[in-house]
Amino acid sequence: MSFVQRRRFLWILFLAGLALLAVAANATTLSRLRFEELVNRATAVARLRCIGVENFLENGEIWTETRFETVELNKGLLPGVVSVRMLGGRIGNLHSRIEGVPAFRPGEEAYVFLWGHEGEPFRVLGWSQGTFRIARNPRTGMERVTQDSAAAPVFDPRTAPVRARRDSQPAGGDLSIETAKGAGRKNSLNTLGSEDWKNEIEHQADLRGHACTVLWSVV
Amino acid sequence: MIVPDVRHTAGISGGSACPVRTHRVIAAGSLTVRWSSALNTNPVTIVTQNQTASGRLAEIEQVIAQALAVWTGVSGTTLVPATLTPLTRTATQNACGPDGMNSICFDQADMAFTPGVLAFTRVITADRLGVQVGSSAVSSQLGQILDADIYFNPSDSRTGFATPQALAAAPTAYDFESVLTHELGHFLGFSHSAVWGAIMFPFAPAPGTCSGMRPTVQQPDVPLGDDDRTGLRVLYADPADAVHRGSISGKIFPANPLALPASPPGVTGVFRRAGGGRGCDERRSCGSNNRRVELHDSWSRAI
Repeated sequence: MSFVQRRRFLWILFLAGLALLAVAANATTLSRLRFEELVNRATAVARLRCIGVENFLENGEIWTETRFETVELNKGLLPGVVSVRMLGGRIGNLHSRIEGVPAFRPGEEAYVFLWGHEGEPFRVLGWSQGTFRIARNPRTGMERVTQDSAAAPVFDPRTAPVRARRDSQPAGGDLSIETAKGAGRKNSLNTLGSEDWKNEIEHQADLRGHACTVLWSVV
Repeated sequence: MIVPDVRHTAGISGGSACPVRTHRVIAAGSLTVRWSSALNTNPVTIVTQNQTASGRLAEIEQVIAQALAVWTGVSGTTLVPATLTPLTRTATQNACGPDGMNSICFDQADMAFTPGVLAFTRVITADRLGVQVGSSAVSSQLGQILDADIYFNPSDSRTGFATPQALAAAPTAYDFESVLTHELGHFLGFSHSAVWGAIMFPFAPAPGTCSGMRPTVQQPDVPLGDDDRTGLRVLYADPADAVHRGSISGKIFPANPLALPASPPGVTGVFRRAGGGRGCDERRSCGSNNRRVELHDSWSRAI
């Protein structure tokens, strides 16, 4: 590759980087809790293992109370067993559904950002934004942390014809992770104080670099 | 597109996400909405341009009517303006509850809110026929919405909303019309959309800005994206509509396949199995045998 070609290539890389930054900047126009906000506003942050889920009625409203075992505490003070109460659930033949409320299954583990007032059961801060589920690859044993609000693929129809975006930039998770990789990284991650957690967040952030091919064809 | 939240019950589908058209609304006046004029005052939940008591209520009501018109303005559906009964007010505090009356509330003390949650819609459905919630209709379809209430966060001093008329003067407030239009989508049976720019995208526009363009008389549905319109045509399909028909097919990469839940099957039901496995559509259920998700699995369905 000649010097001119190399310089052109570097320019293309630079412009592509600028374009990516523009996309990221656009994402910041969406209302969400940044990772630092999640950390700062959470009453407690912990790796929790779900040990039981119960639906109940209170004033006619269906609620779900999930009990967790505290596996690892990253912020705040928590007892060995934590109860989290969220609106929605199922009683008999009635289903009460609120989009974005996280649901857990017994045995499932997640990093959960808890929020609450003294004397009240905890809630999950920002609902899907405060839920980081842990998935273990059975083959490698590697764990991956994914924020609920970043778990879905995001499509940007402005890019013709229709392109699936592998990253989820408008969602809180990826941007938070990006923030974590940037200048504020040490502060925010030190607040969490978990080496595994750091590694997984960095690993997750690395996924952002993967290009996504044009997959859709509209008939 | 993300399929709207219209699903067979787990007992029928095996917990799949196969869409079924259960929210057909045909009869005029079959959908009622009321809103609570008991407005939160400290902090003010809705900032209006008109500061008189009656003027505030009229301004808010106008936005609610306009947001409803956004959805009834979509062509090719059975959801038309006449489907809705005239908007009514209630002065009752804490009017949102599982009472069978669809309500919009701004002052409801509710322990479900946390920072980062601007508003939500609680939808009650039944998986059995003959079920009723309060004064709701008796369920005649599986998955029928019996009660849907919209709650705006009244308790967070950092969160406020403003009508379009007042938004310019309240740049830190969220656009009431955009948030309400999104919540009305849930009210009508939508889940969140993964399409950036759709009104059903889960994150609200930044304070001081609105989603898309403002509705007009000529184009009442202009704030919506194509994904929203298509979703509504699936939910409230007009059998006489011959214009808005088509299909979409392709492949989908999950953002993180390992993050998909192992059980219940949930969204994985929409993926085909590798090696020619069958997908799911409105005619057949797709159960747990489709649980295995392949990165390159294809998905197709009619829209």
